Amino acid sequence: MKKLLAILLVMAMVFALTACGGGNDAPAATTSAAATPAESGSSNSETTPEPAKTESIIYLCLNLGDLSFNDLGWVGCQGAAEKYGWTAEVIELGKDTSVYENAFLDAVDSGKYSIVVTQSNYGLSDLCIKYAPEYPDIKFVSFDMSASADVTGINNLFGIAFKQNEGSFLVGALAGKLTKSNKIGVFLFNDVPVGNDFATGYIAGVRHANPDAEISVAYGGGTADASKLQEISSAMFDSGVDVIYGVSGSAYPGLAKEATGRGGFDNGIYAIGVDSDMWTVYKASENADIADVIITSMQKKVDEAIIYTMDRYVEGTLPFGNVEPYGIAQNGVGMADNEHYRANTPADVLEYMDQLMKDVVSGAVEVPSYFDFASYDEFAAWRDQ
Amino acid sequence: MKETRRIEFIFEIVRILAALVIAYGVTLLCIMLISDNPGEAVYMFAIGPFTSKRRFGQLIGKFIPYLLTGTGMCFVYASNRFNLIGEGVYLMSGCMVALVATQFMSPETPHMVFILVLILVGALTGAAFGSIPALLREKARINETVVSIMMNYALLYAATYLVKAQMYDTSITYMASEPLPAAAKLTRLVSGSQIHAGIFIGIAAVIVTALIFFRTPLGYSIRICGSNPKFARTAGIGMTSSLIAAQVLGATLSGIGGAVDIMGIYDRYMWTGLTNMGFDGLLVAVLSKKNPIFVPLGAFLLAYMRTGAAVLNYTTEIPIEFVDIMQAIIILLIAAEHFLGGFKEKYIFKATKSKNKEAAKNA
Repeated sequence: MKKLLAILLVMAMVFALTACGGGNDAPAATTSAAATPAESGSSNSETTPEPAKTESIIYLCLNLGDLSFNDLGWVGCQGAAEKYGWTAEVIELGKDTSVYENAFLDAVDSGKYSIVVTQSNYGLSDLCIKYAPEYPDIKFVSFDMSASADVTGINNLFGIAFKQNEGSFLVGALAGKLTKSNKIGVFLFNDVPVGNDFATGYIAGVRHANPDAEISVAYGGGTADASKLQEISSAMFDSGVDVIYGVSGSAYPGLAKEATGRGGFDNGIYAIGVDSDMWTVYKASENADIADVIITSMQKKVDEAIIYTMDRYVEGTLPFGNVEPYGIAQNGVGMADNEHYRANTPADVLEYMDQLMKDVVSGAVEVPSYFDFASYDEFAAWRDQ
Repeated sequence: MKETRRIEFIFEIVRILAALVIAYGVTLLCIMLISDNPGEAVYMFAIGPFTSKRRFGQLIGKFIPYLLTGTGMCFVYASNRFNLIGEGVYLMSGCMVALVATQFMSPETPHMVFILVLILVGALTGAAFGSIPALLREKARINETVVSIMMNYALLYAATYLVKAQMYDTSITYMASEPLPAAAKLTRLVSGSQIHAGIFIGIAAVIVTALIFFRTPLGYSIRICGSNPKFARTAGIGMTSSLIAAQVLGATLSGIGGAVDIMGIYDRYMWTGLTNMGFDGLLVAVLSKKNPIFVPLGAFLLAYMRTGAAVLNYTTEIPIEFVDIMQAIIILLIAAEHFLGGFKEKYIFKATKSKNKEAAKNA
């Protein structure tokens, strides 16, 4: 029995480890990306024009190394820091939600940072809303918030809501045009509101471009599990699906691997990436061999959104106390328009997509959002109709 | 016999100290190897939890649920059943508490009544779900470890479903319940820290468990059934009922732990993955040698380590994956039962031999 106990303990610990570290390839140890122009220029500051104030950004995220959402936020913070001669640091919070509040407060209390950038997940936006009024000297930017969140009156907090439904609508329409079997799949990392907003846009896009197509929707359990995504992709391809949109940055290699194994474009099999421009990112990484199956990606341009937000902050035009939706028009989301996509998409589809993008931006084509549904059940009925 | 016990006791202490020294040695060595600023990293890992009111509060915030899951696991572990349902009921209780607090109770309910009702909800949830693997084990001989681990996932997804279907807040982008009403929150004893009134519930649980363990027939029969089932059967102890009681009581305490954690620390229910608090409860029970009196020590040690690791993570550049590995090394060494076991046996053997010699001489 002692042996059994020992095995159980080891299992518990292994579980704790995998639960925490699951699926992260990059060791993510970079902490400080100080951009130095401001410091080096400070000796002759009377002659060179300088930004009004040197800011220091602290970026709070769950885990770096996903080549997507979390990493993009960090890229954005580093980019803004470099552009304006600020400093940027990152804290990875990990999986244990009970420590977030303390880590957050430790960071703002340290006095080292003047701008806090966080995503909204797991209560991080709640923390911004709760504590921003207590720290009037610090600016808070929370991205991936819900557009319906109310932050009025908190005049040092700005929320960014991404219209992932708009970008997903475009790739959905592309999927609807590319499919030969009229069967299309989508995998969502978890059955959560933001995931379902991806699904809403995608499904609407498919139905817009190809009303006859059948859509299979599969959900993951929230952990970054590439083998699970591979398994689900395999089952979908077996059932005749030929285009899959994989909404899970960390688990995405599972889909890319399975689609590559089934012959990729040569066999009419397409994968659609998410968050970053995955074909480009994968091409430049150790995943280069499975990149070519990714026809395009729905980009959630966290990096550009943060830089754009900081630009407005520096100009003094950032409307604090608001949550603003960043859609295609604001360059917050979009479809990756790279050479690979251009080279492998039929000309008539390219033309159709270019026109559709214009229509979405102008509002001629209206894209539904998950947040418009009154309840989950209403969404589920629409999804499964 | 007394001599043997004395040696065992001393060795127990030496063993834990030696394990700690080695484990910390290994971790410190690792820190030195990978950190640019090892001095700060070591300081944060070892002293970090005590450097501010908030960090110490974080330690106590972990310590409180550990008291409850730890005493709960003492019951289970003492009965020699490896029933890990404590993990699943922990989050299910948190979910039920949030459900009752946000959907079924008026926010105007008096604070004390609200809290007591919610704790009762947590306890009942724990008992209800905890009884399933216990009954299956004792009545149908289905392996409790398998059932409980499977059930943990079933409970996780059931809880996620409840959030989605019943109390999901549409103003946020992630899956979490609506905010808990103020009346459902345990009073913070020290402002600006996570030290909350749940600590009294935790201490009460330790005292009650110790009394049941050492002062009631039930506690005695649980311990006997666990350590020597053949003797228990021969002595005519009602094994089935004692073992079921032990497992259900364990799950009940875990359930209270989940309830107290949600009410003490969180603003909403937001667990969409296993919390590990139930498994940590087993570690606490192992560290305290299934003796509820030592649970506060074991719980404090584990909470200290977890907090040190968290502080290390968010104050230095050491990546979080490495922090998890360091915790695992320490726990592994402390939990290793046979570590230094050879020495102990040798000493007991020697002591007994010399005693026998003396006895022979005196005779």
